[in-house]
Amino acid sequence: MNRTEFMQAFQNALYDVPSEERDAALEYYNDYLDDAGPEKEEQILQEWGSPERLAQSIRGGMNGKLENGEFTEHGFSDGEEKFVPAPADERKQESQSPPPVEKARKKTGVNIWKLVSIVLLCILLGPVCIPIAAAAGAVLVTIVLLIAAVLFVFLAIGLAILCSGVAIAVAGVAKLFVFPAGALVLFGCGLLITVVGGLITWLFGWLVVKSSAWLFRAVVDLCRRPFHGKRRGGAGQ
Amino acid sequence: MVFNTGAALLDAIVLAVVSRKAEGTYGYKITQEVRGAIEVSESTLYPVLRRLQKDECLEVYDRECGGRNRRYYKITEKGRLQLNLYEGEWSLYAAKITGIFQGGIDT
Repeated sequence: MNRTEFMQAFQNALYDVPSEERDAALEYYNDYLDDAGPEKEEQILQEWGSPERLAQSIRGGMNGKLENGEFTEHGFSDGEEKFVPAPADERKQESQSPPPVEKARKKTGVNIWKLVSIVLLCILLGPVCIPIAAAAGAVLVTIVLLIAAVLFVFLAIGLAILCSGVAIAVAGVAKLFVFPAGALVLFGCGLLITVVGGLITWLFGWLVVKSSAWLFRAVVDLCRRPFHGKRRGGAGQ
Repeated sequence: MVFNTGAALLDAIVLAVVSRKAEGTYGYKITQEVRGAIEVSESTLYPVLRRLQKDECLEVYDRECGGRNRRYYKITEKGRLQLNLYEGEWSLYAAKITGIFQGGIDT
């Protein structure tokens, strides 16, 4: 990593630091390299370690973490990150060695044994698991359909009451001139029944809409879980 | 070096180095001079300088030098007081340790 790359990465690593602090640090370390001269550049960059590490020292210093840390003869250490310069005798020699490789950052992507055991498990348990899963799925679907049916029945009942209420009210109006008192009672009852029917319709309509939305989301979630890990559905991607 | 340098001692050394130059001095040079006494990495001193600056023990200014601006650190009055305190503490400490080493303390 040359100077430009290092300073760029350093700047990026300071993304969460207030711009005033960031500018001061960038200026200082740019000055530092200018003052050291190009022939020492490589050695100094090497001693700074990685840009992230250098950025960490800025952050630590800002938080007053310095007080908790310790300056040893090997530089600053705050327990976690260590800033270890090359030993003195080594440093005084013309250092032509390549920069130190960042320490153990390797993380194998997929554990091959885990994968193999999962596949084996699937093959072995397949004959047992697949029928059970199918049965469980069928039961689940049945329950969902049952609930849906009940909801729709109540919705229909609500609608029927609503309609009959309206019909009674209309009948009441029609009889108004023939039999006024009875007609008014009929009309009032009709209105009351209409309201009751409307309420029931509204309640079950709301339940149907809500539950179908929930069901839809649950199904989508279930389908994408194998592909997206444990991330929950909802926010569109 | 086998002895560790605590944060306070590092502050004291940095203040002493900066105070020797009336017109102030700059980061790279401070580091090289501190390295004459204790071993610090090329990146150890920035947080220290920054903190001393925030504590108003040091002040900074930019000075034109070879076609570019270089940031200079200069000791303040507060920094000088702090340095005096450190120097007093250090003489006491050093005298006691030396006394023990030489077996001269019996009281």
